Amino acid sequence: MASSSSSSLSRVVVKSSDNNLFVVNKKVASQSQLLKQCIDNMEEKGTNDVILIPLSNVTSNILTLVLEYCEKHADFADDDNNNQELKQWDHEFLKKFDYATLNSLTMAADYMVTKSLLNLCCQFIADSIKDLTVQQIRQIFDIKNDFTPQEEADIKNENAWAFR
Amino acid sequence: MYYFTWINDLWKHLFGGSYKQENTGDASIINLPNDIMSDILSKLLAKSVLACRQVHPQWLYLSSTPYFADLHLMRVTPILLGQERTPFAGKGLSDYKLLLYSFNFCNRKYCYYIYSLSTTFKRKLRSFPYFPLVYFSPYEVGVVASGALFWIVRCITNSGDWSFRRML
Repeated sequence: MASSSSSSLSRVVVKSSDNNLFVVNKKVASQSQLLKQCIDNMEEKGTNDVILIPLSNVTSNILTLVLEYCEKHADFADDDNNNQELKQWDHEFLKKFDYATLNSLTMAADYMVTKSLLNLCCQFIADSIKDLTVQQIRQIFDIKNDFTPQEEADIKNENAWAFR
Repeated sequence: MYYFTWINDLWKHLFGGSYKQENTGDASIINLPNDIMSDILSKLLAKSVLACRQVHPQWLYLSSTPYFADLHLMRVTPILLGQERTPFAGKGLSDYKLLLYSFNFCNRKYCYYIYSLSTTFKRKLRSFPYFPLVYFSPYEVGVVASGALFWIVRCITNSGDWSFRRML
């Protein structure tokens, strides 16, 4: 698609923490505010070189997922935001992952300032938490019980009324 | 997506040895940044928040801050009971607890109750720290809580606006 006339960059190179390089279309990269900022800064300086953006917190398999998401959303960027097809895709997209991946994806979305993805992940995690019991949450997310027995009894006591 | 794995090989060739091992980092949900976790918790209904408070000390802490209470409130759709005396008026709200206060004429004090919609169980709250309601008759103010753990959602200020107040 036509980008703004002043721009000279059409692609950027993104480097993951494990040193894999990804060549990303500018429109796709703009879905991440972090990348967009980098591109904008470089364009202001008027550089014509291909720029390399190192992402020290994102591994390549997570970055692949983030870019997959960005690519899909870049395709739909000009459409109505409430596009049903896109929502469906979002849901299917997240459903594939285990929770460890989902957590990493959430952190990556936060780091790369991809707000819609971050929101999506948060909502997805919240949806998985709801309707679960304490034990189930611990089990599914693999959380150690860090409370002392006394503390746990106190909290249980405090909350008992809500579970009747 | 346009990514070329050979570039990686080239990279290794050029800068071989100097790159560091993948920083695996613990991808546990506990390690999510606090603001993200608060965001996630605030999307839950009260009952789930309560469950989460028992899961991990960090979550207990996160869901106890004033910041979290505000966040949770922002996501709540307040339901006005208006003149309704009974808290069971709202149908289909089984996830919610309602909070209602009444005036006790014996000791001239306001009492606050939390009602569970699914049962007739109610629990008296400790005395309410805010006292903006003196001008209203007890049942006029249908106090609504979603969540109901921390907050009363309601009260009319002097200017007639809605405002939200925290319980705890």
